[in-house]
Amino acid sequence: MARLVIELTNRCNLRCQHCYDERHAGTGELSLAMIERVLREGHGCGIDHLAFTGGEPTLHRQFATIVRAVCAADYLFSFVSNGATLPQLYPLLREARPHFRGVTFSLDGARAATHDRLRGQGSYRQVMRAASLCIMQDLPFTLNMVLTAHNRDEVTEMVKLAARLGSAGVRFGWLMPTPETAARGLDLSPNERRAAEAVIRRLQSDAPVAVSMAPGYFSASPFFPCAPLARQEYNLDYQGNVTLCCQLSGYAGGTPGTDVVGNLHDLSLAEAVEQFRQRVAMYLADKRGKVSRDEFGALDHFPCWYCVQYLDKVPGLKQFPQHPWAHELAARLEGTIDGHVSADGATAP
Amino acid sequence: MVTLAQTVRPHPDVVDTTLDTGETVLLHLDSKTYYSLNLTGTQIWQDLKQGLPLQEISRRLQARFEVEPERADRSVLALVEDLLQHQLVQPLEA
Repeated sequence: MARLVIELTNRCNLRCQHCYDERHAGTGELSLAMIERVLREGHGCGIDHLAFTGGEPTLHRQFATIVRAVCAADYLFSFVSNGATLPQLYPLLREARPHFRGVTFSLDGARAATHDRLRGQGSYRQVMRAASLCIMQDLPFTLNMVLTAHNRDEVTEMVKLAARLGSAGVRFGWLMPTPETAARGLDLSPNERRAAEAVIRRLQSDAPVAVSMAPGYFSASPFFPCAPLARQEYNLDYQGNVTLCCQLSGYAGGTPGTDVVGNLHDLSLAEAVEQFRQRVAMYLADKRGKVSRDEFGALDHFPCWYCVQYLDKVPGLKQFPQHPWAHELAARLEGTIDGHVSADGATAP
Repeated sequence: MVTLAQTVRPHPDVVDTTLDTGETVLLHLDSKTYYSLNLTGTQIWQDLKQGLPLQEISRRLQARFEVEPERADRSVLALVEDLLQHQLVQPLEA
């Protein structure tokens, strides 16, 4: 069975430093009619789980109606949240419990000061309040921490915090460099990323809670099987676009639309899924060609980074020639590809 | 030893949330320990948040739940002792 990630809205109540999608100051949302259509057609496409994202997905003005429709149509569902709306939402989640598989709270610091620096004053306490409600109401939750230069030293502490709070687990995600994150000094270099991965792997073996990494970590194989490429996950944005991946959806800068497979205003869900499969096949063929031509560089082994380049999402980094992720990109544009990551994180010639 | 003449306030590192069941969950951000308060405890907690002296909180408890003054006093003092022990409240400085 497959999962459909649905960006319910690009509305958000926070202005996080590392958010790469500045559309989140917006007010767009997926229509209820479109969601109802997805519910009618989803089972026929092998979809049994809906994962709501945003923006802050719970700010969709008809979130309660959507949750009830999801339950009535017999889908499982989960969502990501910054926790701010949980005090209003938990009775709904209690009602939907048989279909509710959990909420993932974005928590970007084990310490309040770190989290609030990235996400705004008071936002740490909102997550803690939301976790309290989940514990009291027996609602499953996990934590997600996006690693940045500001919080990379808190990985171990975050795992301990997750265990202490009663979280089902903690997942570490990767910040994709953008001109904004570069200007704010948030990005980890490739080697810093790999060092963090090593710490997480060590924790995975003996942590009291499930510890996982979001796709995007270094993969020795060029053919990293993330859920979309394994065709186990589709992504629908708030405008009705079926796209390759929620990470790419709405990425600021670059060529717009390169990740769009089709729009559900024009296609049935079954047609969009078929186009998705064709697009993934093309992607994989392109990658195989690149590997066979020996054009697969060191940074390409970070799968999400490969995708944002493949889909031309990062030209803005050319403004930052010293940026560790821009270095290889600049070299490639000049036709001087090399391929190894040096000790300081830059790509050496 | 806590006395009814005292006033205590919630510790600044405590996150409190009252549920629709009337219970309150407290999370201490230092220890990351959860505590739950029943309906009576929630009433006392809400009064503590308002900065009321313990004597006044006991008086309100008597009125709300129609209990004897001695029993209300004991309930307030026992809970506040517990809250102090777990650093969920702190004495209000004069």
